[in-house]
Amino acid sequence: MTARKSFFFGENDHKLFAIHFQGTPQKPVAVLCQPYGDEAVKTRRVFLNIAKEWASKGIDVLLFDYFGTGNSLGEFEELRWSGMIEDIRNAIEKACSLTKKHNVIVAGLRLGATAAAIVAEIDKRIESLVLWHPIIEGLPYLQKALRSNIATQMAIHQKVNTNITQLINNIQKGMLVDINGFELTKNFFNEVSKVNLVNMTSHYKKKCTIVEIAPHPNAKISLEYKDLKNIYIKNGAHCDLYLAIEKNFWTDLKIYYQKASDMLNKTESALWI
Amino acid sequence: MDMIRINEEAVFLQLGPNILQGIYHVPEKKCDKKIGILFCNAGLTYNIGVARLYVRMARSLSARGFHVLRFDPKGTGDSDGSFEKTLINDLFNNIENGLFVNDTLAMFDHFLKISPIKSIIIVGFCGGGVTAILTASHRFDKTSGVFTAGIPIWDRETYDQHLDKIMPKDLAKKYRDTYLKKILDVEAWKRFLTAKTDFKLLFKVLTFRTGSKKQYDSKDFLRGEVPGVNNKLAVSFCRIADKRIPVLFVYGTNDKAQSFFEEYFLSTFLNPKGPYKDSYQYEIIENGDHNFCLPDAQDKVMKVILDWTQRF
Repeated sequence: MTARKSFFFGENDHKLFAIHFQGTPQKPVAVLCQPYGDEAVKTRRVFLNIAKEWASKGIDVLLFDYFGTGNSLGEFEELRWSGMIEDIRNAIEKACSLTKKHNVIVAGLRLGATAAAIVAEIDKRIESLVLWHPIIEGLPYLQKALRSNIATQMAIHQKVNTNITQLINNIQKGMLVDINGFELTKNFFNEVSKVNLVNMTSHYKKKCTIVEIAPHPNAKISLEYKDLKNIYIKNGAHCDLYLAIEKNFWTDLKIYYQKASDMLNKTESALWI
Repeated sequence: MDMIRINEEAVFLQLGPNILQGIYHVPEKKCDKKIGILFCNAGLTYNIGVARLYVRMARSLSARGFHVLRFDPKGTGDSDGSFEKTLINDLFNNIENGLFVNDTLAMFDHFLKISPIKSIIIVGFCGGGVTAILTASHRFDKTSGVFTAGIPIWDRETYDQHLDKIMPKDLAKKYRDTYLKKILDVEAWKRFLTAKTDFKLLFKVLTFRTGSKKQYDSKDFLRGEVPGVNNKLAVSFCRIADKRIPVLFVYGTNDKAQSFFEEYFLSTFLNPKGPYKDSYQYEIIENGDHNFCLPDAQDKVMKVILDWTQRF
């Protein structure tokens, strides 16, 4: 059985909730970066099981909630993209001080992976970076997320009163726009819509594992992930790219998704640093 | 908006091979009511609730002097355990039949041990509300109230197989009106022709029987003889109502569960002239969805719980 401690850390008005799963002294420490909004809720069980699995292999794991999400302090509309990046940096700091280890694995899913990659550009302690289905470009990701607002309008009014362009205009006017119960703000929208991971990757030179997730065994790796891999290699990193056969477990599914076994199998080599 | 201070701590309970995890919100001493509020997990959204509603509610209730505990039963959220490969519909069916009751009872007793509270109000949304009522029926002496929101009162297996027979009249009419409005809608026909329409629901609405249904009373529920309804839930409600434990039912007007509640509970054994008329309150939230996912509905349901708990 894995030993664990749950606690809050950080400044008084910026306390973050975390669970530390205890590993063994010889192994590295890992920080898990959850995705954005309701994707984090849908994937919580998978993240918990990743943490337990890695801890059973001796790796210390810190699973934390960004400010304004999960059990951390703050309201969701206070969440900033720059804040997510700062929170990951603080979580790495906390993980290192708790475990007295300085070789760090940072792993993230979707927008959490993108944020992890940005942190890896500036934090020299990261020896292994794991990107599960990272968001490469922020704007298309947000536009797609806004479609759920359209679906909600359809469900309530049986018609679309505000289309995607109008929703974006509303965001720019400072209005909050709902995405499955989580409110997208102007600040977050503007920061994330500028993100392009391929263009923002230049300094990280260590181990990187990119895992694309696809539900069908005959799926092929996307060009955008091949481009990202090539950028990492060009920058001097050791980068592997894999395809994992999993359902898109951050979306609404008919099954209760508890483990992403193939995704973890494809990540195995990232743990050996 | 209450000023949020951080006085929250993780709570662990070893139950067999599994550790259950929760978050305990401790109120300030100067406003301590010595009453606990236990939030029941609805299943998929773990201890934070839909769109973090449980977190917001717990912090506001704690600021008003309540000790609050949110937790995850086995196999959910941050707790140990797992389920066999499970369809979400089956998980919901199991929750509505009491899957989380033993864990909730254990956490209920643990809450009384680790805090200075004397009694507990149990809160739950959707399936969490069913768990709340089932749990309260095992802990009369220490339960001071039950708050439920959007609870499904149907028997899920019957619901899936015989919706055409058990669908409430007003819901059938609502669906039929919606389909009729779409007859001239090009987009709707596109969805129909590309098989994106919910054909199962469409068929059941079209074959819905409009004849009068048998009226049931509380004895029928107690005998488990009401088809399409979660009789276990009805029986548990009657038990806690007999003990004069106040129960609040909250529904949003955009929740089909509301129609079922009104047709099967409110118009039968909960009717205003019946034996349980003083045992419950019923609140409707205009434009509220099933999960109270939308911000406006969240604010309204938050106000309802804060107002209702003032009595304690």
